[in-house]
Amino acid sequence: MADKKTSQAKLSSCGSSMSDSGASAASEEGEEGGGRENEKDPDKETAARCPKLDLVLRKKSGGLSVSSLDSSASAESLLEELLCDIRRSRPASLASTPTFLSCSERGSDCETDCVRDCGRSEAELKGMGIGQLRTVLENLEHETDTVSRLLVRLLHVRDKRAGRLVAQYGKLTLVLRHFARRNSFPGHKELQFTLHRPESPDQHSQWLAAWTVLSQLPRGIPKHWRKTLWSSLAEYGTRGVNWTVQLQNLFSEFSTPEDEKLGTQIVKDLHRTGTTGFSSEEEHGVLKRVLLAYARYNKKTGYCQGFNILAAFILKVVEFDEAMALMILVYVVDHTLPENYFSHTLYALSGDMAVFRHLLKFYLPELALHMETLQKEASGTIRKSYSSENPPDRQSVHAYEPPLADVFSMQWFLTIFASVLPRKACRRVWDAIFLEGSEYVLYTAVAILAVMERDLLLTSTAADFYMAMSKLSEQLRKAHIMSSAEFLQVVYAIKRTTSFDSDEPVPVVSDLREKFTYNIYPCGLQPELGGARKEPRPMAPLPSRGGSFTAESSCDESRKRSMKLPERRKNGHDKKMWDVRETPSKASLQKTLCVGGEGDDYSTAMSGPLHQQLRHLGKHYSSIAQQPTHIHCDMHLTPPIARAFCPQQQKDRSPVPYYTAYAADVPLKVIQQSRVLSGFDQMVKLHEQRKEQFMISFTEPYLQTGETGEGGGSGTNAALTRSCSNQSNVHKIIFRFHVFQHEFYLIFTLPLHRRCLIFSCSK
Amino acid sequence: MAAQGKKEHLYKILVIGDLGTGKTSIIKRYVHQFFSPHYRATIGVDFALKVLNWDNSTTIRLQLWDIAGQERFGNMTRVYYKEAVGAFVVFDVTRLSTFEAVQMWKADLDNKVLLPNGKAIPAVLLANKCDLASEGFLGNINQLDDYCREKGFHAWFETSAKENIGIEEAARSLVAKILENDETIDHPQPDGDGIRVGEEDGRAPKKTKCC
Repeated sequence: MADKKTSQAKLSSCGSSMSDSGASAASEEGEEGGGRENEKDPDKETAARCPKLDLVLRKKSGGLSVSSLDSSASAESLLEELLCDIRRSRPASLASTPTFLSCSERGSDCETDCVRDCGRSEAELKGMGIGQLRTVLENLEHETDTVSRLLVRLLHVRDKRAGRLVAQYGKLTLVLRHFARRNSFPGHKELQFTLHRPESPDQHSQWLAAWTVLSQLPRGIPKHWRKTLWSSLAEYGTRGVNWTVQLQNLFSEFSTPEDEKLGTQIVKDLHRTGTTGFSSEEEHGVLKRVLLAYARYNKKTGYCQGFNILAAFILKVVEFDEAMALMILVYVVDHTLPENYFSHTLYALSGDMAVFRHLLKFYLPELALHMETLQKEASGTIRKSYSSENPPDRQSVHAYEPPLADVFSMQWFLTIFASVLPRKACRRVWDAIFLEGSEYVLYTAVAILAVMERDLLLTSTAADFYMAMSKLSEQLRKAHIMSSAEFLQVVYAIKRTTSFDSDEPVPVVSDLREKFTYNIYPCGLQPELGGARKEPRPMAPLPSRGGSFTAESSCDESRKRSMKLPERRKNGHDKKMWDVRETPSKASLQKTLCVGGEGDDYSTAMSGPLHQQLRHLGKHYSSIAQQPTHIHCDMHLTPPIARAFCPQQQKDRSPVPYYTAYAADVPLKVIQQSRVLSGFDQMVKLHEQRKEQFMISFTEPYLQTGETGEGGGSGTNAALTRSCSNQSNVHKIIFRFHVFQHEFYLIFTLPLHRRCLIFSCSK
Repeated sequence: MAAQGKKEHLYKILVIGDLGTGKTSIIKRYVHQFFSPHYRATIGVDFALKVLNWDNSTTIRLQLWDIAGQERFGNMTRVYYKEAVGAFVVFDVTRLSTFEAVQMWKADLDNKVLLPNGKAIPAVLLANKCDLASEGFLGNINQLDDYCREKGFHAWFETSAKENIGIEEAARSLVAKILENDETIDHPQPDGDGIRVGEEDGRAPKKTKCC
């Protein structure tokens, strides 16, 4: 109020120094200025307000520097200032309310007029007669009125929209809660969705929960919300950092010699991000600034190759907002991943690589063992020269091959999958990492190998393995193996297995990390951790090598444990079946799961304990196999694989054991499968002899013509091979025999046909 | 079965050098016969396989290990040096600093891996991006011969992955040297098979402790 009075006093004094008309004109100017001030308001204030002179004046004087009022500034200079201010404020006010631009076209027209009035002001106004000034005043009043009415209307609209938004949030919240309940997410009742992060800390967790559920929907977080989410999380995660100050320093143009040195490294990598569409100079400029800013921010880490890929990836998501990209980069590197992931020794990274190898043993025991075997073999074969007359005997025993997974996991982790996953999948993995923690880095890595397992098991040397990996990685990156949505289902399935109640405790990533970070052993020499003891499963020898079967190794204790398994497994099962229902494409998920778990035990996580269980129950199997069998072949286009593992409904009706074949992929030539079945008994017998799974090679014609070939056992490999004139057509089929709840399953995997057949028989 | 007496060799070869000298490009050119200016920077290590029909009786598989140039990966990548029998050390003719780093890479190499007879593994120096040589610093090319002798390089080649210059020749030269080494190393110890098998089992756990 005091301000207002002063201002009024000044104004009137100014008026007295000119003419009366001048005074009224001055106050109109003030009024008009206020009108415009009000224009700015809707952005900040919720309540509509009328442009009243006193309010306006108060604001005006507040807007001007107080000192100018206190000093002995003349009335003219004050007027001058007011006018300048008004003119200045105009474009600013327009710019600050872009949403109103279209609505207030009329308003801005008025304003243009006003400005014109103002423009001719001082000198002209002074020269005007009182009548003219009255007209000007009337005009201005009228326009002010129009503008304020418009403003009120717009504010109403805004309120209504805000109300609608809240209602939409409410609906979405309900949907999410429903989904969360069905999915048994913890704390589903509390979740509360809003787009922007709420300020209060208790609402924060509700908000986080809502987004977490949203991210796990089959299609994940809508693309246009991701920027909001990431920046909110980054802001929250890095709230200790004073960004307003930092950003200025970090993005400053001034560069030190250190920066120069970093700069040359960074420039070398700018065009090597592997990101398409990152080619223009301008984009490179932004990328370079972000990378340099990060290096300045965290001097200890500086620039690590891989950051270029991370930053390019982030920049795409935040639409080249460099400040935001930097914040997110800081959030990922310094606040999400374990410390020292990228800094000079990279020891947290090597820790995670070790954790990954360990998790593989749990989730994909067969593949882990296969890789270990290849590794050991490679350790002997490198540098070895061999020929048919010169058997491979002169090998160096000192040879050493690092764990096979390392080459890839290092890249995956350093680029947080931006270099291996399709963009879409990668964004969703990052969502998960941001929302639920960096453990997802490991789950994702396991998922990648899970989807490749089938093909990787066919490799016979380390070099083969590496080549297959690069090929498969390329396919994965182009989303040829599976869609992003399917891949994420695999990731979440792996994550969810941690909540299953299993006898073998699921390894806890954080424990493993702690264990391995300071204590890294190469694969094969890792001390067995209490939490995740695992007996490696003997694996299929490959026909090309004279591999030998590993003796069955199941201790009494595990037998006892395994007896309890079926029930628990069933629980896990229901969840899995639920997954099948929920995903957009049944058929494709089926494929996913087949690929993921090799179709064998359905849940990759179950494989460990299940294998023990299967072997234990294996003795029942012979009694069934020797009975006369009636073969029943049943084909589905989108076969419910889950059903294959549930007790057969017709089971009780049929007194004789029968086989049911499900084909997990289209298209099917049904006859061929019954043909394959005719060889089935042979295989079963073989299997019985070896009590092992084995690999079998069939030639293409065998499958296509449906020859009733029994195949011939080829030596110790327990592999059936049918010779064929066209050797290139040899298809490898993986057979496995599994027992579950007194049902027996034989799984054929035909990698080249991308098909998995499951035969089940029951007593 | 098919070829009686056909020899097959598997050799592990390292490709090292400073960041951005074109190691990956050289490998892609050599293995896949194409060049693109838009490779991803190598993170950690990468791997490629090249099969060479050396002569009628010899097939050679080259495992090419592409080692990231950034210093900090050194810790992680050094395990891949083990058992290498040859190396390419690459520098960029347009950047003097990468040439200066060659010494460092060579010393590093000799430090980490040796042939079974205790000698340094054969290394070939590649002066890459020679298509851009006009802007390069290599004034007197003959000096490089002396340099190689001094630093213990087997040979050096001007290469360009972009224009496909010199890479095949460099590889042949290195492989020839490796084969030559192999002969001399392998011949002195023709016996002892039985013992080795036992040894191998006994030593298996030991050999992995270096990680």
